[in-house]
Amino acid sequence: MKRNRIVPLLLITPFALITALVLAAIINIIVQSLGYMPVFGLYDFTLKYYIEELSRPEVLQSLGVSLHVALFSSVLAAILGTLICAALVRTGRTRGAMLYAVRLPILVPHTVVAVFTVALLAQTGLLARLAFALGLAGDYTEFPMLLYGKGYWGVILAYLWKEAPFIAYFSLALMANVSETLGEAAENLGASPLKSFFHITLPLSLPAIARGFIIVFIFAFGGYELPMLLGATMPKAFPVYTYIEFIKPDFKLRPYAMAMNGITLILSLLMALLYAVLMNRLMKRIGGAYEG
Amino acid sequence: MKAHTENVKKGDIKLQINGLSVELNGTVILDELSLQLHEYEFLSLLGPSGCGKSTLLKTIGGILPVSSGEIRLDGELINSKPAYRRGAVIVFQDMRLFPNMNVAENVAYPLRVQGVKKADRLVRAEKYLEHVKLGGLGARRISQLSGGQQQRVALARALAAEPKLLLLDEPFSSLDENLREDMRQLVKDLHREFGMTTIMVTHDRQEALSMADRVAIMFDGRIAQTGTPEELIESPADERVSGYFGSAKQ
Amino acid sequence: MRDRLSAYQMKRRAGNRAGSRTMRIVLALTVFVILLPVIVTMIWTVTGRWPWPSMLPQSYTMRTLQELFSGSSPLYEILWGSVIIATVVAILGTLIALMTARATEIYRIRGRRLVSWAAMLPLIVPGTVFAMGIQVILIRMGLGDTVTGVILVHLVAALPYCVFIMTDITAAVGNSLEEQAQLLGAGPGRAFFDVSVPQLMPGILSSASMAYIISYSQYFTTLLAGGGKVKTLALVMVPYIQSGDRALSSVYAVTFVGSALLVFFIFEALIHRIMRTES
Repeated sequence: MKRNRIVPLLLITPFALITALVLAAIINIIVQSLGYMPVFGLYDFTLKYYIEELSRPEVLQSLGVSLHVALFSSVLAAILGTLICAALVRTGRTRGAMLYAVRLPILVPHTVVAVFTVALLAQTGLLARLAFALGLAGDYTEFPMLLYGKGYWGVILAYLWKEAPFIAYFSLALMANVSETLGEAAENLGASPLKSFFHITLPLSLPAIARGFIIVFIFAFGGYELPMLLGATMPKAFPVYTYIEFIKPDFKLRPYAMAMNGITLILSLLMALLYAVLMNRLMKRIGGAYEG
Repeated sequence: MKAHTENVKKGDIKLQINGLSVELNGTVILDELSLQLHEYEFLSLLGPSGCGKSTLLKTIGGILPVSSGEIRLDGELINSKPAYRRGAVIVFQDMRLFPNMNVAENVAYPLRVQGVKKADRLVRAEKYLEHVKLGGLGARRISQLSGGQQQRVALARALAAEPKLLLLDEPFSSLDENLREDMRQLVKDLHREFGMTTIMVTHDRQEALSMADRVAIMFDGRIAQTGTPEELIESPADERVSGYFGSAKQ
Repeated sequence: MRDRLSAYQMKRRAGNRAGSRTMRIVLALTVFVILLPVIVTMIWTVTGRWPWPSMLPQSYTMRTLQELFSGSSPLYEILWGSVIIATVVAILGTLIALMTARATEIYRIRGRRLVSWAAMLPLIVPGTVFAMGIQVILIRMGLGDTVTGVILVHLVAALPYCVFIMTDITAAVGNSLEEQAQLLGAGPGRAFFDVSVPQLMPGILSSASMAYIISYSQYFTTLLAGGGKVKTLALVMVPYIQSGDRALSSVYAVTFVGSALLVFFIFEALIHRIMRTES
């Protein structure tokens, strides 16, 4: 009985150590971004690196690009993911071969997604060839430049390929459960399947969808591989730009890179906070009966 | 109805509980409770839900810690003895059979823990299964049994552990009425055969009165009265006890 | 009255059918879009010449496959390295998550909300930010450019999922059977392994397979923690993508997905077997 106090402490220790590692990384970023790097004779805490970074037009453009990618990827992935999830639930394919196909993109890393995207969406990719064959585009230069272009649409479509199935899979358990119990009850009471979906199943599945949405948003905002491999040279996505600043050999420039990381960090934390507040309100409204 | 009471061999004191208090998350569940049990005795522990009956069994069994007071089993202080060395087995109402083992493996589990060889323990498991009238069903999976059969497997498994003390926590409450009567008879028979000192928690007054040598009635974490069924009905210690049986008669 | 009712019901049924037909089309399209790039990439692996604008390659070759096994550092070495790192991450991640879940769900330690927020933290902080923040710390700990350092950062990436999975299943399994085993005379460790581990197995396997896939897929964190010295499959394929060699990058992509799927299906098969014998 006395061991009951020590055992749980021992059990939680490895997790606490890993968490400490994450916190150490965060603290390191904050401290260095505020200009405190004693090894290089920088002792003053200052906001000047943040202010300087945020007044550079390239940085703002880069931030804009990443927000654009994150927003489009996550909103479209949430909508498409919900649709796929609803289709899986409606047709009763919540297990088996169909589900494995939907889970495939979750298992595929971003580097491989880049290879897939190039094969399909490049100006000499399969889609462009198809457009040519159908007489929609005369030459490959006439096919819209989805990859390496300023619109970052190739990056967004690549994220969509990977993250829409992620949201579908992530929300599946909850939506299947809600639909089976309350959705069917609503249909019994005379609601059409469409109405019961929008009035009952969707609102109650929202916690899982919203959580997936936030994860995708932060992932697409902070992701490196896809914009590095498929994005434009100018403007660069924010993490790509940050990394270029980070590997500059002059260590006195490090606080600039860290300030950029600090900006990403603040944005991500704000998103998480927004999520927490919205979820709190949502859970209160639906009574928390179906927690995601 | 009282036939088996004559067979009671009043032995030495088996279980002695003095001033036992148990707190869980700051709430007092057991409040300086005292209770004494003789060897071979069958005690029914009766009381309204939430009075602390199940907590008492779990504390005796060793899965809840004692806040103060003492529990002695065969004279030995067992307050801080871990559950697996106490020899007090609880049969829970939800049966708690191991789904990853078949019926015989469930019954043989206490023997396996003691290091009995596989062939031996399976033979002995079959004997216990015969005692609960489930002979030959050893190879079944738990999910293939009915509720009543599962409860009997749980009993057989507890017997196989050869406990010093058998603690039954509302063992029949998940069964329907006609099954319950069969199970009561089975438990009585097993008690006579194995002579195990037994505490049975119940909130069914008739069940308590008809099965036990002695009944203890519990309110708010304390034992209000112990005695033979007759004593409790004819000379209740206080109004709560008389009230409790009074409403039963109606 | 009866006729009107059945007419209404027929309308409802027709509506239902149309609805589920639309949903079947949605699913078919989804699967098509998911599989199309996989198939095109598989064709690319053996493509010699595939000039614009033909829809199919004009010549096929085994060049890429030969290059795969003869390069400066042969593929099997890199593959083996990635597999070992991912396996260690899978085991450690699941073990740590299991311990954490026992502390919060069985021992009900204080600060469970804090633990669940801490578990979310690596999902909230982007991997790029974490990697750039941790690099100096790893170097100071003497773990810069080492396999250990890479395993640590992969562990951070995988742990949120492991903790979610293990917490859910630990809460569902509870400890009532373990208590029962202890009452029957089994010591705490024995009770855990005899009774709880078999029940937790589906969760343990899905947590391990998730952690494996996450580790196997890491690019940026491996680059920073490993400093380019620790080579994994995800890392070595990037230069080929950058160079625009579609055939060779396709071979790497297919190797990658193939080997990841192999591991994934082994885990899935194990989970299914356990679930079947349980019920």
